[in-house]
Amino acid sequence: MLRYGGWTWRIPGTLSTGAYVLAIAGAEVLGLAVDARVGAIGHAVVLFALLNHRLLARGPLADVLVALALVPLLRLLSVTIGFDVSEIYQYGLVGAPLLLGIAAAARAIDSPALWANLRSWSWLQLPVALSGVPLGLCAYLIARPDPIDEGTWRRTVAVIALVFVFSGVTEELLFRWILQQSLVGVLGAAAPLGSSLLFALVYLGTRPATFAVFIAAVGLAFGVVVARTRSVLGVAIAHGLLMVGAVVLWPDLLG
Amino acid sequence: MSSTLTDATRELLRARGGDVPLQLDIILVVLLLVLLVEGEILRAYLGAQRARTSMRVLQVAAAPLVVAFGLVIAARWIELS
Repeated sequence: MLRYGGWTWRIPGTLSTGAYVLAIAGAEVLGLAVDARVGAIGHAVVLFALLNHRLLARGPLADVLVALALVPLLRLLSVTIGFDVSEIYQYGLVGAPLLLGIAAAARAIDSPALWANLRSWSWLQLPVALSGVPLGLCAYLIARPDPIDEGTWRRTVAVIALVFVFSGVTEELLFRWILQQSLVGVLGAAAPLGSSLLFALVYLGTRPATFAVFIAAVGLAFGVVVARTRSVLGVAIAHGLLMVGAVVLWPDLLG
Repeated sequence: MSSTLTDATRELLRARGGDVPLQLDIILVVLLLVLLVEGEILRAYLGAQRARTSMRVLQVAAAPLVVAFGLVIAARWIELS
């Protein structure tokens, strides 16, 4: 529902959410098929529209709009921050501002259920977290990335920390914590499906295509785990371990 | 291998010799300026409570874009010096 002054418009939350998901998908496809600049302009327009719609919206849709804004923000940051440094450091350069955006979104949403998802821990989270090790091996066998020349052990530790925090954990905080939790208010039990769809969308530009399919399936499984256990801790660690294994550990051991 | 650094992004960087084309920087700067101006307008015209809520929403994009802008400026400065 939109309210401004004496005016009130009633638009179903699912319709607005679906329209924005389509718009994000369109911008992503434009960026890949036409030109990165066209895609970036598309994402900038969608981001601006989402934030301004949020200023007028009330109810569960308001939280969804804030959460959805993080997806075009992710893409804008990933295509605009790129320097002549090792690719590994790009994870930190993009991930650090994105993490700041996630923190700002959590502050704007400020839902007790959201914070409970971040604090809730049970021993069931341990096997969930450790699933990241075999999943990392699968990811490596599918994508076969080149080994990283870390040089010193200090650089190796820095690379592992960067990949763990700014790739694995940050993505889980965005898609399974903020986005999925917000989508529950609009999509109900289908929220993991919605967040996984957006998660798969942002992996469209990843090759090989089988890796994109694999990571989308992992995203859906993580989404179901978060919905059942009401905790994002296990999947955040699992995704971090998956990325560290796929990018740093397994290429060094098996590459 | 990550949504933050896809193969498409890598190719974009490699094609430009590890540097982002200027037009992409401009998109970031224009969006940031628009959000900051909008924030100031809302602060001037809305009541304190609504302005605070609105600023929190705009900061979701504005705060990361300010950091990104700082990184881009720092990189360009290092490049020129």
